[in-house]
Amino acid sequence: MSEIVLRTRNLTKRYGKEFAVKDVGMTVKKGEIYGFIGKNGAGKTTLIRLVTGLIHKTRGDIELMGACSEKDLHSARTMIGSIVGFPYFYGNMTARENLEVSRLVRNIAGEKCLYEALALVGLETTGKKKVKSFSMGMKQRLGIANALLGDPRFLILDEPVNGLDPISIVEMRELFKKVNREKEVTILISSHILEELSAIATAYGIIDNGRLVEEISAGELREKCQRYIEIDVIKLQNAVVILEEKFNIRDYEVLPNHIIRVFSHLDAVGEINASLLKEGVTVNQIGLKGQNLEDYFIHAIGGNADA
Amino acid sequence: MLRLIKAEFYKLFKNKTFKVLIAFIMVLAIAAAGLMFLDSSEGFIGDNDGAPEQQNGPAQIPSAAEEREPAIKPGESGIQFESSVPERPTGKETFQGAFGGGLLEIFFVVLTAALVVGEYAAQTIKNILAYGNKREHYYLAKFIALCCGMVIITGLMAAVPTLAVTLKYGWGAPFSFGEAAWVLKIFFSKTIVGAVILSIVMLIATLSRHYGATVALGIVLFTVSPSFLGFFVGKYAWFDKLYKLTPLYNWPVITAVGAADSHILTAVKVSILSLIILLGMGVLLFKKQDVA
Repeated sequence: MSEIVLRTRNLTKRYGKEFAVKDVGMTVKKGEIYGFIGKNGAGKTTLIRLVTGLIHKTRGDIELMGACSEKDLHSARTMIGSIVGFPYFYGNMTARENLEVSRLVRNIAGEKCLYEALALVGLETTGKKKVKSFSMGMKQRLGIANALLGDPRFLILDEPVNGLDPISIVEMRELFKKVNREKEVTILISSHILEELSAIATAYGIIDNGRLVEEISAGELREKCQRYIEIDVIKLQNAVVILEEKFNIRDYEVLPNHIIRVFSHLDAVGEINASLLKEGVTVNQIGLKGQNLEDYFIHAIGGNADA
Repeated sequence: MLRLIKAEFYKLFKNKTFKVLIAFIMVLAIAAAGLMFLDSSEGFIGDNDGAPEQQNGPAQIPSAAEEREPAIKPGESGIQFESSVPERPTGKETFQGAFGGGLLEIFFVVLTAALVVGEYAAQTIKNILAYGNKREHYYLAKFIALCCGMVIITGLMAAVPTLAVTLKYGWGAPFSFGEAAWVLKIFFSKTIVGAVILSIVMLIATLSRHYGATVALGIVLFTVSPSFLGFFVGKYAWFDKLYKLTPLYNWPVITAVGAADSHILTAVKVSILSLIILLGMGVLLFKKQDVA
């Protein structure tokens, strides 16, 4: 299998004169949990619909697990598990019956997988209860079970934790991590809840107004978003000695122009300042710097965001 | 594609609308059987003072050699049982009348709307198309499942009154292999024409993606419009030719009094050709469609 699970080139979808998605070049590598971030209406679901073949592209290319032609894409899509928008089911059927339809549609052998999928999301006890009487959270769980059916190699989850209570969100997050780690399933999760994505994603794609603004790995993002105490001092050596000996600080770096960046003890800014002054080290400036994921996202899309 | 057909059959038999339609058709079929018995007793009372006007015996399906026009009354809807001896209808006559006109079509329209539009409305269609299933396969699998539903509905409507009347008054002729073949021929021909009706409604459903619009258009097309179109039949030769290409003519012609084998064969040929065109159009339309 190709190392690239999903790659799009100049992928564009236009409705009339409006571009829902424009020239998107996105790369999801094998084993990644790709957090797809964007405001409501940014184009996340449109892109997912394009990848899953629900809508037709205006132009551009989709490469899915090495498949590029329309015929090969059909085969590649059989190896995907997906939730596109809110998960919808046949209301007058039970959870098991709904999964049975999926099993037949996806040519998955044996009924054992139905019970396994239901157990994974905690719906094994729903029995004869019809899906129409399920809560939103239960439907979302069933959507996840449906996506996980038949051990897919690539999971595409569009806002998968919408409607889930906080405990369920944590459970599902752990489930996604588990299937990613143990079954080497590559996952693309779209969300506008940044906190949720930051707890799970290993790479990010930021989309705004139909354009992919940036792709960044979690490591790079962490680096960019790392919070630190920046201290501008006159006597650099003395300041370093105080930080190491009095505060036992080891995680720091010294920059030119007498700047020290301290990556730990973020809640001790006042204490550090007082100690430096007490020991006769003149502090020109001291304060917390760096940005969180939210700041980074707002900066990336260039302005105010209701993400 | 076989797995998609299996899935469609599974959904059909779990579908609430289909179950309700089956219950309705059972009631209707039993009512039709009751009507036959009622008619026969009324006929008997009416003709009590004398012998029947004519001892016609069982209705005969004209042979191919008898090339007369079948007796079709355009716009006639409901179930019309025509018995040569009113006080003693035969199973064969009941079978011919049980298909009716404009009635079963309503069931076909509602079933198609429920199964095709229902997938769009509930957005469950995404669960099928997002998993690499070819759209033409899905469309044809859906059509095959609909045909199965139609056969069950039509079969019940034909079988219940026919069996009831046959048990009481007999078939009307010795039930030979030829008679069984005739029953199968009529039922098969009706199924082919019925499939054309389904494919038209399926096309409307795919185009409109709206339950109400599909049901309304379908009923107008197959139940209401024949009454209006009936005014033009026999007045313009070109209209008659066109009319004979539609299921509005081909559905009743198969069981019409005076319909020869050649009429039935023509109806089947026209229907098969229509079916190929309509399914082709439907698949093309569906393949181009964005499923949001």
